[in-house]
Amino acid sequence: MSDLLATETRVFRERREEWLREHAGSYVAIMGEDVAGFFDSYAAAFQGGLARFGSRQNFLIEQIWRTDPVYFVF
Amino acid sequence: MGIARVTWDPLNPENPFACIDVIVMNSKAYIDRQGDLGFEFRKPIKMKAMLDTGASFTVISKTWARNCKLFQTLPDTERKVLGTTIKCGEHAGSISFPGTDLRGYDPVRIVSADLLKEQFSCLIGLDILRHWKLTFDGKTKAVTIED
Repeated sequence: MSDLLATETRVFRERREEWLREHAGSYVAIMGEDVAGFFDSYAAAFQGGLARFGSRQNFLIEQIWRTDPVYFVF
Repeated sequence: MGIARVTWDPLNPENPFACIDVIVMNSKAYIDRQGDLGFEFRKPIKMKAMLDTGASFTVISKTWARNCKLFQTLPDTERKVLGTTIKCGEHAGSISFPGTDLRGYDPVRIVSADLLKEQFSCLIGLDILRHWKLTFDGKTKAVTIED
């Protein structure tokens, strides 16, 4: 994995179990250690992240599930 | 409601795929903010995308994602695809369908990967297809898309 969003990925992994209790299925936007909030959709998380963090740096958007997503491409 | 028609001849060995023209670029909200900061973006380029009912997400090639400078929201990570693993990233972008009145999606999650189907730069996956009604007329070899 590259360094891009490495801190945000670590924060997500560390707090995933805690967030699963109340936010399972929601989307979270994270920059550094800062969490913009929990959102119902990917689009809402992106808008919320832009509003909170601006557009100068990438921020992480992850859906809160216990397992990482699997992509199907047939 | 929008409508579009594309030709599809699954028995044509030269091009047995159903394709539609797309423009993939950054989200308008992101471009507006970057514009305020003085950044410029390349003009978007139209490309062919394959309608892929076997893809769970819309996928763009890594080359195109880099070329479009798509805003990345998940780092490049090894993901399981078709029993193997390939590096995939996730981006917040927009997708529109020039020459049709189908509605575009902005922002939308776009997965970047080195595509297994190398003849395409973009696959339209089920995240967008689920909003459409697709009808294939085998006699005229036409696919009608309604949203």
